[in-house]
Amino acid sequence: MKKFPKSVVVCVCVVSIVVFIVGFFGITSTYGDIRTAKIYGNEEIQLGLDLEQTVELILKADSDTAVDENTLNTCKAIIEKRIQTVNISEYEIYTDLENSSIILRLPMGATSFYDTSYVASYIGKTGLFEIRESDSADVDGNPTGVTAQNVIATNKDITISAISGSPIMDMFSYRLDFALKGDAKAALKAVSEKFVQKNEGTKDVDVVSYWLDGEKIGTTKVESVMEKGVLTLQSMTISSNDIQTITMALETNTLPMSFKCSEVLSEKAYGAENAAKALSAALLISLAALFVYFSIKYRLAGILLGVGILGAVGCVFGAFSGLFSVYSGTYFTVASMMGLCTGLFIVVKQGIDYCEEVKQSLETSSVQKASLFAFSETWKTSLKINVAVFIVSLAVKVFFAPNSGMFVKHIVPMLASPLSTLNFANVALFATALMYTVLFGTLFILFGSAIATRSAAEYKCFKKPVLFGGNKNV
Amino acid sequence: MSKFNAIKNKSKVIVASLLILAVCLACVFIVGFSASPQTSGYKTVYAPISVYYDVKLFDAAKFQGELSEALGTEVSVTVSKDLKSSFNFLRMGFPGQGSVDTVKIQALLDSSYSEMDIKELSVANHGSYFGRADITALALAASFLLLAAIIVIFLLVRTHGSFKSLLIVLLSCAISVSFVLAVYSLARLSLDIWAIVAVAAAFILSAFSSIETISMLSSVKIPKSSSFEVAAGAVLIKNNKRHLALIIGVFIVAAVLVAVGVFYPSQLCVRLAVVILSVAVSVLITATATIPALFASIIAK
Repeated sequence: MKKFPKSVVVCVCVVSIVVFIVGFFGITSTYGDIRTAKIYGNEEIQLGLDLEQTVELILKADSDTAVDENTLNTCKAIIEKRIQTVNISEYEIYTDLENSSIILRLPMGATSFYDTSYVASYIGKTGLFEIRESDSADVDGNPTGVTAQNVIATNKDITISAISGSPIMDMFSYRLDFALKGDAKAALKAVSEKFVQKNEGTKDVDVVSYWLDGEKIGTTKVESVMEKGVLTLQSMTISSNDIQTITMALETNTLPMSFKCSEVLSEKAYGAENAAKALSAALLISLAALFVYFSIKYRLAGILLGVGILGAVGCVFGAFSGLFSVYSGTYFTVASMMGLCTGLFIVVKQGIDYCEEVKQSLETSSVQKASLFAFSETWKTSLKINVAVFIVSLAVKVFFAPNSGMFVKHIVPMLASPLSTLNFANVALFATALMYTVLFGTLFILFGSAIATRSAAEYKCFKKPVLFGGNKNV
Repeated sequence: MSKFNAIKNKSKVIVASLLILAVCLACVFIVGFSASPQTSGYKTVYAPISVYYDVKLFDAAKFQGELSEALGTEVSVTVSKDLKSSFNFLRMGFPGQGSVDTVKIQALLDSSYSEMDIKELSVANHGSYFGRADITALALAASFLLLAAIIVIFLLVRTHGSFKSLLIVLLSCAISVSFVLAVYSLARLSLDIWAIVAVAAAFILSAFSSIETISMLSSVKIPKSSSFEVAAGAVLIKNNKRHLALIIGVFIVAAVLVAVGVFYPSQLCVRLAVVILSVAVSVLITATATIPALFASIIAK
């Protein structure tokens, strides 16, 4: 019989254990009270609304009269779009007609990557972005004179063509390139021609100014006729939050009215107190208990199955947390948990099938032959199932992806209310968890533990069938 | 071709299938669920607590019980904090879109919890036009079932392109789902997102297990000295032995979850234990034993 490398078993065990430790626990450094994650572990996973403490923003319409249903629904749609433009996919949004309010719920934890106070202060603003002639303003900062009279462009006429930033000394300077369309382009050309004619032969330079919700945020000097409708705003006083607000304002419509955040309530997730800690503890204890059970039932094959499960779980957690911070990770919700459980059920069952096949084959053949036969028996069927699950999960994940999925982009807009208000984020999260578990399960549990068992059978000390769950007397 | 695939007596299979489906449907109809704030859209009553009251002294679970009894509906009570003003709030969630009797709530608070000094109640509508919690749950259920159906059909077309196989798989799935719903009903658990994911998981896993069992039954080679019944029986015993190993593993995980859930305490762990246990047992009973055995015996006769 052909020899199999003995080192494979060692490699599989080392890789699986290292992947589990790194993926599940991560690597962190602590300086005083500050804990910095070098490699993200389970504590850095972004938990969804159903597992984590949430923050509820009550946005009250800034209006003396009651807001009608249609207007409130329009505002809700715009605010929802704004939430999506700042890459928040895990949220709940409601309209409260009786109180003329919009209620927004977001997860609030150490792992959430956005600034809640920023969302609270900007999300309900009208979002009116204007480019005006000159920059004259009164003592209150409101535009006056020609600046108040001549608006060159507003949201609908402007697109951002590029955003860049560069450090200058110990400050940071942002540059935004705007492209103007249609009438706004002609208006800019007319204003620039006027400025050039006015300042011909002098050293004076006039400016156009940028206004966000009635507040001046910067100016651009006009030194020549601007025919192409392109403007550049460069400033050291603009913050990253301003950039995000401008982007948000230009990518979505302006709100018909502004909303004030009247209350910011922190709440515990429904029925999910201690969820993260309890689940991590339960997972570790369960893995240990299963390791012992499989070791007793299938001995060496069971130990290697347990090691394979560790590797698969480590990789799944790594994928969820965003290993090495290269990739931002995925939200973990109840649906993700069920996807993980379903995937583990499928792949662990395939691992058990392999161990049982080895055990049965040992009645008639040697350990090497039994491990090879068991692998050929289980691999084909299991692989077919796993490939099918992977392809379908991937398709579902892509199709239902929040913000960018084909379903959200093309089908939801065609649906009538209330179906158009659906958020399918959890469907994509279930499919993501299932996909990761089946992928890494196939690699570590199905393939990894099988080749490790075959490799272990090459060692003289492991040649006895009883060590692989076989009968003592064979 | 084995006898399993060469069956001619379709009427017996159809009658047996209809009987099983009738039992499943009856099971689902009997199930009496109560709506949960997670799945029905809800109203919230906010009650600002006086700054002088120490919220640590407040027993939310006790108040939740009293309020539910007084109003005759399920209520979820939590203490929230307004991060802007640092004030504490009592947050009472009510399922459904009906009106909330704030007078009764105020009366209960004034009589039994006067030390909290609550001045004014405010009501907010969550999901009054089919909020996300409500509709996502339904959409989730439908999509999971769609996902499961796609997987089943994909596999069946590839491996067992027969009508009988599809029928058996779907019956197994239907019984599994009914079993999970029955467990939920008996345990008097609300129809929430957990129930829906449990149903989806039961559907997917039953489909896989029954496909596997059918695959094994289809490849049964009947020795001359034996009958199909005996050969199929041997295959089923082998199959069930493997599932037994898995089910013991599931029991271990469920026991750990319950223990951790009680220790921390975490309601989530206990619910997860109920879900995975009901799903695993339903898959074991339906997909790997009862249905294939039933069909094997019908075929053998």
